Amino acid sequence: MSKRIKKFLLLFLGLTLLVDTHSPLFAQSLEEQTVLSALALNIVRLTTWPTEAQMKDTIDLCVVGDNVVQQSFADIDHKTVGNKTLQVINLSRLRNFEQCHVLYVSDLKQAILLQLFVEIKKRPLLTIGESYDFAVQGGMVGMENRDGKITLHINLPVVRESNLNISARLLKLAKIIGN
Amino acid sequence: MINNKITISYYLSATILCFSPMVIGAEEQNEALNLSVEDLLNVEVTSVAKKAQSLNDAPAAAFVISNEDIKRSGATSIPDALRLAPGLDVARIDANKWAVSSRGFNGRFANKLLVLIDGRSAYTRSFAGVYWENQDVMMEDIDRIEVIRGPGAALWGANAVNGVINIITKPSSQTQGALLNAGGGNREQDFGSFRYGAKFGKDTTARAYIKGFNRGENTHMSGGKAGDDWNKVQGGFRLDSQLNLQDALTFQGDIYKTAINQSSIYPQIAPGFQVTQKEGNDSYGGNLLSRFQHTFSPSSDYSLQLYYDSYTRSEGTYDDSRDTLDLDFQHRFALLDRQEIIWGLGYRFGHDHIVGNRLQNGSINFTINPDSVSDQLVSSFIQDELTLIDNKLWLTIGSKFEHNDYSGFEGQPSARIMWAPYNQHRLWAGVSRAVRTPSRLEQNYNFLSRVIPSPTQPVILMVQGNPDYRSEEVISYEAGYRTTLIKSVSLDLTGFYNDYRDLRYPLQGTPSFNGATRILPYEFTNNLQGETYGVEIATVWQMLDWWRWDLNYSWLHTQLKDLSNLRTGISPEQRVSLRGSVSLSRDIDLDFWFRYVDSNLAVVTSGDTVIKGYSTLDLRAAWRPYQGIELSLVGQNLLEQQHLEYIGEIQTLPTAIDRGVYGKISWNF
Repeated sequence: MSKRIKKFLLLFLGLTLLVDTHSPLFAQSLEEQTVLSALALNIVRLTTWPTEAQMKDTIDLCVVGDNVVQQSFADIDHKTVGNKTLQVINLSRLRNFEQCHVLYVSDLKQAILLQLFVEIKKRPLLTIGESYDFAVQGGMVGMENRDGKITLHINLPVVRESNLNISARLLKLAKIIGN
Repeated sequence: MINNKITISYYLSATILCFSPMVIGAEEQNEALNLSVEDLLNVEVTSVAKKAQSLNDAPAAAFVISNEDIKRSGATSIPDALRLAPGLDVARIDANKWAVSSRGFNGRFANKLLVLIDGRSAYTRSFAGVYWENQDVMMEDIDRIEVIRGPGAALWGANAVNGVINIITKPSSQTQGALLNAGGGNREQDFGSFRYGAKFGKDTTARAYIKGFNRGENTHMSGGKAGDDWNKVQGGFRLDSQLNLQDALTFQGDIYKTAINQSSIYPQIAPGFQVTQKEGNDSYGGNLLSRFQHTFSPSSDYSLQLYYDSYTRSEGTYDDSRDTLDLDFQHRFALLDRQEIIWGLGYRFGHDHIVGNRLQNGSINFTINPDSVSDQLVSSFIQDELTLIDNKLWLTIGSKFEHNDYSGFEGQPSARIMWAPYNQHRLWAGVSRAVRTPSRLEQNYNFLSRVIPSPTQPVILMVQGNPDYRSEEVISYEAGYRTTLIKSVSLDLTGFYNDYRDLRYPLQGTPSFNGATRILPYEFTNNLQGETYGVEIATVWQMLDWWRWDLNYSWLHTQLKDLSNLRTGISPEQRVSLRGSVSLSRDIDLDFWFRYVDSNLAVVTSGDTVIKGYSTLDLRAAWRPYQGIELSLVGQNLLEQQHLEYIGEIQTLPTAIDRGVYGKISWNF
């Protein structure tokens, strides 16, 4: 490589050492996936399941997502929820939903998502996803990143149909879909 | 030649830097868990680090170029955007021609890389390659470009020998509203595009677009203007409809017309023995595609796709036109608890018309017999992905079986294994067989490739097609490792060894005499063997929330069996791409992109030529003064006035690519 290019590379590598991590532009900000998993934990804490859900000592949260999503949920694994413990299960296939009390879906094609909702209809299974559309199309809680802040959308008819109960505190913070 | 040590030491120092304390706060997680719901809904979130953390789950050397990557690179064409991927060899021959290949054997007529645009093959049977100048989409509507290096034949079929490129555009629901782009510069002289997306009823969305450009001429290596300016107009549409809960329909199409200028050099038998001529060639074409998808359940669906594609490409020596009709069926379902099966059937009908053209001096250098052929391809494939250990170990086996009119039956199996010992680590390995089926030209044409001057008896080198020419074959062994070292750094490392058999080799036949000339025939045979091996590295480092680095490095060694009169190009041994993306504020982006490409060997009619290695730099600055409006300024190939990247195998005089600058305004409304 020519000398000019060597100099150029050195300059840039050098520059990177000088820059401070904490940019004033993004102060007070948290990484999205971290916030979403923390929110999911809080949503679970503010939900009650009917007796038919047959919960024992654990609340089983199934995660459909890539390694980034799985990693952020690993951090909330074994957290306490009331007198129970949250247990995170990574689903590599879209099957065996009966083992889950909560289903977190990061990103799925629309056609597959619609069929998933058909399959788990009326089950006491809390579904949480990452968009407004998720809640509109038949999911229970959709978490949308709107201009850098998370907005919750809750599809109340679907929640009621499944005999789940979401606390008034959470409903107040969310935008409600349906009556 | 480059000093290896220097490249390696820069790569190492960049990697070591990753371990410096400048990483995104590790205590963030605890911070988030201590916040109340109310606080979590009020906190600013950033999603910039996602690219640095996502690991591809495919047991293959796969790389994804995103819409944002393309935008921030300043690339204005598909081949230029492909430079973003590691391991791909992209070289611009002149303003309107590219040589693109994966893992070696590059050339304008490179034949071992399969290219699909929204499921439609851009690979032509005529010369077993891609007319890159014919391929275009509205760049802003690209969702992503998936680049798979190595054989993809088990799933995608023949000719995916060294790679598959899938260009995928966004569904029309994601391109609603109007987008107007306009700009100009010295090389990208003027360009504009307009797209409008609308909703029809509750379940149907559609978009239509039109785009056009004028690209300026470059410089001949021998000095003077290259006369390679060209222009293109293209329009198209896409309609997506969710018919009911289970059925979805997509309907899309494009139509284009191109006027290509070039100055070409051809051999001639008459004294002088070569002639240059200025040409204006036209190219036009279009396609229509429909895809029906039915979803049975979250783990089972099928799709049925039908498309028609037509093009006509005029050249100085020949006209090539082809119509293709393709029907494709795929079905995915879960079997027992641990298996996912995908199988499919395909049928393709092609009809071509190829004729040799008279040059301006009256001679004909290209003949083909027959000049028109209809051909068929019937194929099927099956792939089984077995989960051996839940979330830990997977085995994928599969094969394509097909029958084509040129080489008969072909079986192309593949076996791959992936192991994820921890969430942030993926190890994979695979072995596959793939073939490159013969082209129409290889079997049926005659081409005057060179005249060796002599005042008494000039020698004519005549390349001859061979009806018995068979497929080229590779057995490929690959292994890879992907990790997110720490939260802000990802590393993707691949090594491969390819064993090739039956590669194309023009064998010298018995000379004959025709009056005052001696004719030396070269017939295509499958006599060449060879091997390639190499390493490809792709890293992403989210150094700061607002500053990302992408560093790619690839090393390739090509070893061909020593034969006299070798006529195969050798791709560059080393390639480096370093990209920095800086977001100074929400409204200002700064990008720089440095590339180094090692020297390579081009096979041209005048003899083999070594092309020197080069370094180049692109810069981009963008500013969004109001919502929906973006102004950008892009400088391309800034380090030198001009540089040579490649020389076309035939006819193109060595052309250096000029430094370019353009400005652009985008208005989204």
